[in-house]
Amino acid sequence: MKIEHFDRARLYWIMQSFGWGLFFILYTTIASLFIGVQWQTYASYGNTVVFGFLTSHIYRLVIKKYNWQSLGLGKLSVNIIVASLLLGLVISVLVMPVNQLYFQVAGDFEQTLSLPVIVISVAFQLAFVMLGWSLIYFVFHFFVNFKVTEVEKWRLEAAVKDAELIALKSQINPHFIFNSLNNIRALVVEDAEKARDMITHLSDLLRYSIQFNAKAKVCIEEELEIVENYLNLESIQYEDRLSYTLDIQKATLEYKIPPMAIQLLVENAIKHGISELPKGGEIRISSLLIDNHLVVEVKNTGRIANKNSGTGIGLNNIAERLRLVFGTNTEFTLKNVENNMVSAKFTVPLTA
Amino acid sequence: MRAIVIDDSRLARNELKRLLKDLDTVQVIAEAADAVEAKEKIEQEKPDLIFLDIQMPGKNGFELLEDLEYVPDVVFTTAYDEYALKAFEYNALDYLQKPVQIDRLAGAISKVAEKKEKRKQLEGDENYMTASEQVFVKDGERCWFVQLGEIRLFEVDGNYTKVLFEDHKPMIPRTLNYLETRLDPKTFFRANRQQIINLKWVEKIEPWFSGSIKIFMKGGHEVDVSRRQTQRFKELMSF
Repeated sequence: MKIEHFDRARLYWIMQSFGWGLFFILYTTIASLFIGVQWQTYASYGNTVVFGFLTSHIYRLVIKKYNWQSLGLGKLSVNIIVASLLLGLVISVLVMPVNQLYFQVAGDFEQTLSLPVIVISVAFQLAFVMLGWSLIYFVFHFFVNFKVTEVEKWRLEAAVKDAELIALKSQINPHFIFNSLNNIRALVVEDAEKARDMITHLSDLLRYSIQFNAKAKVCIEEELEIVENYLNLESIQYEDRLSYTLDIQKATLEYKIPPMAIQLLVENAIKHGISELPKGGEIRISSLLIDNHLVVEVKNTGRIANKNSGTGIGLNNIAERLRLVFGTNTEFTLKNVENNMVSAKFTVPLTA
Repeated sequence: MRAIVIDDSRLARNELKRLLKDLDTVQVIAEAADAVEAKEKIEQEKPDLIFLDIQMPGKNGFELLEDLEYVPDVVFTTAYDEYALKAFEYNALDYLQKPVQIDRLAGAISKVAEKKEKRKQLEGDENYMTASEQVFVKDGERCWFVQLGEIRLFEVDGNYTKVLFEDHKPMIPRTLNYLETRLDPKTFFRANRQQIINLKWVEKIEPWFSGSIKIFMKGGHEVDVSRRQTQRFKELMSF
């Protein structure tokens, strides 16, 4: 930002000098063509240019101070016109008496007019010059700002994406945590050894959700470890209502996925599948490599009754996270399959 | 008090039973793992109190309550359920969060006992649902236990019946005909095909067209009584 600011300041000085320089050359050249080369011409225009330069610089400070760039087009136009007229008059009042007194140009028809008339007529000419100055200034700023806004828009979008990604890394469902704690409490009396195991599973699961949420990706092996912790804990809630199998191709273990991606699918399978079935059901988790793609599938007993009830925010989150990490080349499906099961499956291109 | 524990997790049921063992005011007479089993046992055992988990397979706790003909006092138990918690906050129903603290459990039970004592003084005919009995009603996110005495009017709305009390009008999945057979006729009167009114909420009665009457209820409702029911109303009200 500092460099940009510096560049802008330098650019202003260059353009300011160039503009007034051009004004000087143009007017002195034209005047010399008509009335011949006289030093007074150069002196008087030099005088005008110096005051013009200073006045327009003050004008710029005013523009910046009152932040004219934030004004609407209508208000800005009025301001510019009034300011140009005013500035034209100021420069003319400051410059013309001196020019008339010390740098009288011979052969200029203006000599025949009285000083106030000269001042007024020059004021109008200079007002047009200032109008031009304003136009250049604001049009230039409009384009520069447009570009800056565009860049900022992109930056913002990227930031939003980052924030989304963090938010989407879901936490462990609190309902599950408290149910587990309640079950473990009962288990302490019934089977102390098993209760101890369950506390370890819960700890691992919580640690994972805290630590790995900070990472964009984890390898499937780590993720599956946590899924098994989770399933162990759900087994004490559902007991014989829940059975599960893992069918994992060894080659897939080191591939990376967003943390909690499989975990959330399994949580969903339990929440919308097993927990809805008084007799319980089965969960099957599989991962394999097909055609340079990683395919992970979580199946559960049950049916998706209708589109509205099952496909909630949870699954949209998973699909969205996969898309953010792997790009649009990602596929996510949720559908009823044979054997009275529901399949949630994602396919992502192999990258690492 | 005789109680039934309803929770789909066996360990959770055990945990609650263990806690209740230390409180001699409550005896657990049965337990149930889902709504179907629970409904059966509640209607068979007619407990004073049930401990009810919200999240269960099949029908959840709220749906079970809507289904019950006999509604005992209820203490809800839930692990963490934002939706359910919201429903409780609206109406200050008793609920316990799992794992349950023994103090809070004892508190909830004494509250139920208090309520029961109050109701005893209003007790009426055994065969009908009297003004002192409560019904569970649910409307979207909100739910209530309403004492029948608080209900001013039942009104047909499609296959449902609208229940008017305070400034709420939730619906219950019962027909007006069914309610008529269940409600105590000393208090509740079928005014016409559409409405049953609570006689305790009648403000004034005016003669209407061709021998019928119009009843003005407290709280602003006007009810046209059909001609046939006007006859019955007069019989009921005469000595």
